[in-house]
Amino acid sequence: MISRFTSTNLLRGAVRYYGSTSTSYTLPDLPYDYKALEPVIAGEIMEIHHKKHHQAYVTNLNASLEKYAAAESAKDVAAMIGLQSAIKFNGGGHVNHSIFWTNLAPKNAQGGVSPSGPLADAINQQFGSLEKFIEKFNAQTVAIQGSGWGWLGYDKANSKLVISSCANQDPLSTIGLTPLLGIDVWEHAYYLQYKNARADYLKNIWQIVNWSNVAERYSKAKRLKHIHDKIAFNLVNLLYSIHWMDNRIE
Amino acid sequence: MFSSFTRSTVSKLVNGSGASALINARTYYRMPSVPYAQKGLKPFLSERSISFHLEHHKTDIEKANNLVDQTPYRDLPITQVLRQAGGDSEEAPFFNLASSHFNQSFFWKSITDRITEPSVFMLKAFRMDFGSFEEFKAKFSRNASSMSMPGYTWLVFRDKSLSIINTFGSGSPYELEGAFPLLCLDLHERAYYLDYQTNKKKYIANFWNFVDWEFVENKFLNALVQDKDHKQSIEQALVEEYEREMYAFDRDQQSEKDAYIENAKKQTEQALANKDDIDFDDDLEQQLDKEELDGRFAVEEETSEDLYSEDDFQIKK
Repeated sequence: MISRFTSTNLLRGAVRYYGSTSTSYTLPDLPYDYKALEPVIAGEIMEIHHKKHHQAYVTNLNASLEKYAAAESAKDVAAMIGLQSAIKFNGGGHVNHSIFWTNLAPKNAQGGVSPSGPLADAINQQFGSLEKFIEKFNAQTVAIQGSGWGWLGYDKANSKLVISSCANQDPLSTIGLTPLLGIDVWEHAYYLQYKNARADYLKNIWQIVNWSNVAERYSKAKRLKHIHDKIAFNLVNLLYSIHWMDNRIE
Repeated sequence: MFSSFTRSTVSKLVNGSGASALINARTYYRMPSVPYAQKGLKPFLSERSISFHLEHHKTDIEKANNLVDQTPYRDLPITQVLRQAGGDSEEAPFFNLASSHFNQSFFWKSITDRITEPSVFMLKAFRMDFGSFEEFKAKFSRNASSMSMPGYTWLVFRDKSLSIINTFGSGSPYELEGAFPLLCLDLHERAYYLDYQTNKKKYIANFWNFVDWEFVENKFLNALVQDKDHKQSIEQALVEEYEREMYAFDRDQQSEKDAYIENAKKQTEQALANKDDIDFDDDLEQQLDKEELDGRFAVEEETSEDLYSEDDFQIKK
């Protein structure tokens, strides 16, 4: 409840800030060459995926946010509502792909190296083993109808890993989970190489998953949950004390 | 086809044998014929692109056939299934597959390697609802290129008029009340990615040269079977348009003639007023003289005799 309130205000502030000045979202650079992920993902796919698709999401996100800021200053609520789906689609696309590029790494640079540490413990505890986790993840992701993303997310409320999926470019935050690892199963992510064999693409992609990045996101999520819980606990205590002091003053 | 009684007795008889699997597993959905699949549709879609897309379509059909027996829609034709099962959340996976199968089949039927043209009737309907055929194509193309999420763009007949709608994912045009689909364009990435990658506009532009207008017209006439008034109104409007054009042509000729005569009169008056020598057309005058001498304009003098005398009609005594 509290986090949604603050995050909405943060979004409003961000929109006002980014809409009014010249700073806007930019396409992040890939941490590796376009051809570095071959033979799992062809260089042609990486180039088109990064330069054309992700760039289009960034461009359209900036355009939508500009229009949103203009509508906000004109107090045109209908226009603001009309722009929300474009912001969700393009913003989601930008967020998802930015995570995706860091989730992958070339085979000679950590790609495919099995996880270790707390993440590995959590996976083994919840799914039995890494192989079983991959099997379950692939079964769920290959069954996504049409276009979407398969996700490994972190459920802060229950401190659990969750295998989930989202349609189109909806970010995982819409389900209330923290994204750790996402696999793009829009056809533009694999069609030029794997054609309609999505299952083969999902079988091979684990050779280039950057588990150290996933583990980093996992520990950050747990730390944030810890801080978030502390703030919430202190805030509730503060409110109770104020209430008690009110009663005492009377 | 078979009543449930017959089906159950037959299945009891053959349950012991391996034939039960064959008899009970009836295939409901089939791939339509795609005659251009071998050659492809250059330069619109390559044979390679079509064949991979057909493979995807085949897996959808297999999955749908595996599910259909467990649904309450097993005996309905597919259009009825799509009309009724849209809101059924339990059978959502089946609906998605059936809708996907229908949409893809409709796309295969909407395009062809034959050279076809929209008929006069179709063109009049486009003029009535979109202003012109070019405007319809422009609007359809705009709708298609504005879709960032995968789906289809449809031309549908609904509420006595043609309109253009978009469906997303495995949505169906039958989810709209009373809509009859006439034409569709597939905007899933698998339909164009191998040939065009991100250049969707070129894919849409090429589409117009491969539309099967005979199929579109058949679908339109089928839809109009239930709305004969509208069909008559289109035909009536077409006839009226022709008549107007014909009269306009005559009127134009008449007005041209009048304008010429007016002009000639003005020139003559001016010449007389300025006391100029009127510029006679010498060639024309010579020709008229010649024709008069030849007797072409000889006017026959009227005789006082009628063609028939009264004697001709009297019985000779």
